[in-house]
Amino acid sequence: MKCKICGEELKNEGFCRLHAKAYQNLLERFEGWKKALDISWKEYLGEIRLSSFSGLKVKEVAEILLSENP
Amino acid sequence: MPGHVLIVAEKPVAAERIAVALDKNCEPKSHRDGRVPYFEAEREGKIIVVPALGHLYTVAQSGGRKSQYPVYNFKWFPRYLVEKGAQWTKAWIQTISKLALDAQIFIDGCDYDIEGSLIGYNILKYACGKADVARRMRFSTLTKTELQKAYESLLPELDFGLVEAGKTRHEIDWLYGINLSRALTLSAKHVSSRYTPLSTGRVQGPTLHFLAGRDDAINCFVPLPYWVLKAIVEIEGKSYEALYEKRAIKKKVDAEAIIEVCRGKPGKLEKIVRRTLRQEPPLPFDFGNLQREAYYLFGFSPKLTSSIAERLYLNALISYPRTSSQKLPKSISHRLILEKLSRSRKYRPQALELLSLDVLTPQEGKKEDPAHPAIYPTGNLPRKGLLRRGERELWDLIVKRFMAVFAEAATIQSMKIKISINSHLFSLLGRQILEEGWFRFYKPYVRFDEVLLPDVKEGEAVLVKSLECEDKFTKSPPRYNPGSLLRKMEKEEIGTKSTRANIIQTLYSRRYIEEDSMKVTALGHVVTQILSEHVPTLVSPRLTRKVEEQMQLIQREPEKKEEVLQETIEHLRPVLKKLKSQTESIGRVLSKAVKQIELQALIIGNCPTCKTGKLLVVKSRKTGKRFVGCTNYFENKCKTSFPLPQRGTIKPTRKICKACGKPMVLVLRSRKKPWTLCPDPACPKKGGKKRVEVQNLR
Repeated sequence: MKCKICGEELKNEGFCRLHAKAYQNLLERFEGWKKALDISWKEYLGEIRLSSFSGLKVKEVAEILLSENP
Repeated sequence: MPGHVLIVAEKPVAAERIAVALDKNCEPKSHRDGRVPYFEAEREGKIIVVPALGHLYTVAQSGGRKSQYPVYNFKWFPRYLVEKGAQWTKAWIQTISKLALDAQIFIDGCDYDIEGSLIGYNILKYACGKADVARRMRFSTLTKTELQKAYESLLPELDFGLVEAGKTRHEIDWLYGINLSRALTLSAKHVSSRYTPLSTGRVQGPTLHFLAGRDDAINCFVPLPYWVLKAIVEIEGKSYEALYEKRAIKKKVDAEAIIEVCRGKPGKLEKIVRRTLRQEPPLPFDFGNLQREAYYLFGFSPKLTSSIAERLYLNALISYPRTSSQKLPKSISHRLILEKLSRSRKYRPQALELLSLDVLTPQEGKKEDPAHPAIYPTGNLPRKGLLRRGERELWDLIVKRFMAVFAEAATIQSMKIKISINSHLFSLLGRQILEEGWFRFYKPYVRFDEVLLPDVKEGEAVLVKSLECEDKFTKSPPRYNPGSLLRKMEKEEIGTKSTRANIIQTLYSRRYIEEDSMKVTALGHVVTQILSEHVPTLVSPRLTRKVEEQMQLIQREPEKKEEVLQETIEHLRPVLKKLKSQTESIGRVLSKAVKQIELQALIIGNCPTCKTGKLLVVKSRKTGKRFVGCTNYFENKCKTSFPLPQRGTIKPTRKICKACGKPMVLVLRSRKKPWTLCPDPACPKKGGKKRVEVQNLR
């Protein structure tokens, strides 16, 4: 099995080492966003995908999570 | 020339300076043996000063095949025997050997540090055969008085502690470097059948690891939102921006609620807090500090600063720059240097002001260097036209820093005005210089901006013009730049003051990092990942710190050298065995990354026609000519192509042509100025005629 984003060797949750780390960070920061803006997981992913402050790998993970559950 | 004294200097300019200083008339005879210069001075007998040109000897494999690892057998060789581009060292060594034949006294006159001591030792040992009887000159500047003093008070023998430490460091670095670099290079070659030099080492490994770690942190960064509240207030007819007492508000509803309750309410000056602070003079420059300051002020890379400082030292304008000391001992004669500097119109007022003080006490830091004091100007003034751009700036910076360390502290007043709006506090922050102190001596390099606030009294009413709620996001950690990376390397004690700049340069030349922002390439990430997985100790700063400690030990007890080398080999043995057993898998990821960066180097930008493809420099199989084509051509989606010049090297510029929007390329041709070019022959910038011709052709 390969990472569903970049095709690299798999590490965790269907992602390679870096994308898994980005996914983990996304999960951890959701609580902060929920408190700050009272938004849903999907809205959160949308914000992250568009934010110029988000890391490249994080944006890629947000993108794929959104496309998997439109 | 029977019975002469032979002094070995580190470089030709240093040799000339030593000869001038030691000749009784300050006019030594200049000779040349082929391309090798040397100098003949007269001073109670003949003195020949011959220069090296950096290291003439190096560690290399002794016996066995060159394309295998592990290798643990090494010897010191003349560089021309083992390095392709070092043939020039042959003439150098031959000249020194010839001049040594009739010499009676041998002196090492190289820079007084580990590298200098090793350069001198190797020449005296291998080219002259006299390392055991040679003496040592010890100096920190190439000024006449110091060189004469160093010659009059020679150390009775070479500094063997420094020599052994230097030798061991080179040997350890060779063991790590050659074995791990070969492991990487040969693994990649095993899979791709192509030779691409890949390297790593005791200092390169952890440095790349820092950069890759930061790159990962940036790429995996998730920002958090927060809100900043501001009140725009008017005092004495002028607008000021007051910030809410809590800098970051984490919930939007809370931020909006504060704005709501403050809206339309009057402001009142609740409290004014004034504090007077002393800002002590800066510390004298050590090498790392000078490199950082030059990067922040002039944008000089650490390597550039290093080479400029070297030239200033060789011109006897500054003391030896590769020092880690932050001390300026009295022995360097502060007053004399200031007197000399006062001969310059530019520095006269400040130098005279300092000279009028009864006692000159420099501000000093904790760091010490047994071999050299902190960097200081010698007081010699450059001849008109001697200094080029860059050299002038760096020298001026060193002179001004030297004067600033003797000056008084600056006095600064900080002011905080607290404004209450419906019991919510907002504050205005100001700062002002009360007494300039050392700032006057360090202009224009002082980084201090005054923020002046009006003179107001507590209890006064303030007009609140508006309230603002700004959306903000936390930011990822910043990328390293040459200045901050040097600081990190210093903090982690990896590399030495002399090698750090070169290591950064090597990371660029190996294509592990790119651009000014030091982005790690795919290849850089793969290399650091392989090392973290298989040789975790190499990427950790602990190893290199341990080696530095071992060097200190060897300086004190040179006999510990063999023990240290054996320990290195024992550490490497299992690691290399493991790497060898995984040649196939390591080679696969490495060659994939090499291919990726090679492809990246050919991409000049996005295709403006199909918007999805990339424009690539390609070579036609039919004609052998190169041109720009779109990557979507192979899928029959886009036929965009442009011609390219057939000579020289083509590099992407990451710039877009202002006239037509096509990505531009840089053409590099030998003996010609680099040339930026828009590849589109129909570009309006290239004139109507050509455009019409091309349109007709189409």
